Amino acid sequence: MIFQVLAGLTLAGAMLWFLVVVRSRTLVRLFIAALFLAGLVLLLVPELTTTLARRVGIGRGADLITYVSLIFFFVTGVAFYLRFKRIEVQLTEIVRGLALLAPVQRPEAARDERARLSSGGAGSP
Amino acid sequence: MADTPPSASAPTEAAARPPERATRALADTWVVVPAYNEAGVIRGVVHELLESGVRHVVVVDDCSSDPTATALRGLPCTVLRHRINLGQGAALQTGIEHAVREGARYLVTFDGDGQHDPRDVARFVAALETGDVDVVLGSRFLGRAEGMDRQRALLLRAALLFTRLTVSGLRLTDVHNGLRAFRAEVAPRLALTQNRMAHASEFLARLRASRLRYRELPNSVRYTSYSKAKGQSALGAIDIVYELLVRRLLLR
Repeated sequence: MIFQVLAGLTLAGAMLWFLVVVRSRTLVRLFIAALFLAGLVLLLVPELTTTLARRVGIGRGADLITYVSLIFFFVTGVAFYLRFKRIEVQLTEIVRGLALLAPVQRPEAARDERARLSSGGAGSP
Repeated sequence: MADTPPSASAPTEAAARPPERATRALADTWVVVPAYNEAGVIRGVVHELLESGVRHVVVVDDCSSDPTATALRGLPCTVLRHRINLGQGAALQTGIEHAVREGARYLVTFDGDGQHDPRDVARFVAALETGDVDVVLGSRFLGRAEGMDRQRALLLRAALLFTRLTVSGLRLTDVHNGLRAFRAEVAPRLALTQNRMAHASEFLARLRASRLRYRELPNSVRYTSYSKAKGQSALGAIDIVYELLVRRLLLR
């Protein structure tokens, strides 16, 4: 009972934090809310996982939880990887744009300097 | 540094080329040099390039932590600087885009660590000038590589096999050679999106997809203790394999 209370409170807190602090699309928010609610229900009625597991052909409820978690983590990982790649492309565009916009050295600068030096610096062209 | 005559690597090429034609082509050639922490050698590399008759050099400093950019002060070349380190592929692409905007006709990519011979540039561009090919690729195995050890040769052979099997399908003898030359108008079709080292294989994948005419020419490569230390370790090969596989699985 103690575990259920503690885990339940943590889960509820995490859900609130997610929905309030993390800005995301409505669909994502609904999905997250559903996920947390499902977690709460499973906490309160542990036998439910075993029933569900039997229904889909897996022996124990704990196994079902493990499988679902694995799939979930994999999908999350891929989603984050793709997002990371997209951000990397955008970052490249910005950094490249800045580099092209303002060269730190142009060839003319050296030629001008050389011309100035070879003219003796006396001011005569 | 320069102790071998240019004709040593390809005597037939050098003899067949009228020199004044090559010089004219060089005037429209931009050499792109990606550089990351090359302060000790970059000035010599660019100086040698300019001495060899190249008019336009653009160095892309990929956010070096050493004074690579300032080492070039006073040399008539363009220096671009990435504010964040993005990798060699990204640096090359930045330099290529700059050169295209400046009206380049021919583009040459050239390593910043001094392993390439500036005298190869004219020969590569001359091959483009004949109009028979759009892309010229350097090969260490057609030419002579000074000081290459057995382990590196084996690693490069493995890289060759891997690239042939997975991405390129091109008939090449050397797939990770930084010396390449191509016409400016085909640059967009060869644009690199792989920021890090997988860009060498990406270039070949794009080359194959583009169906451009290509040719390998021997180039001499100087393996000094400096360039060896700067070059990729065998572990880098694993990274390249990973990048390419992930890319093929997820993004294509």
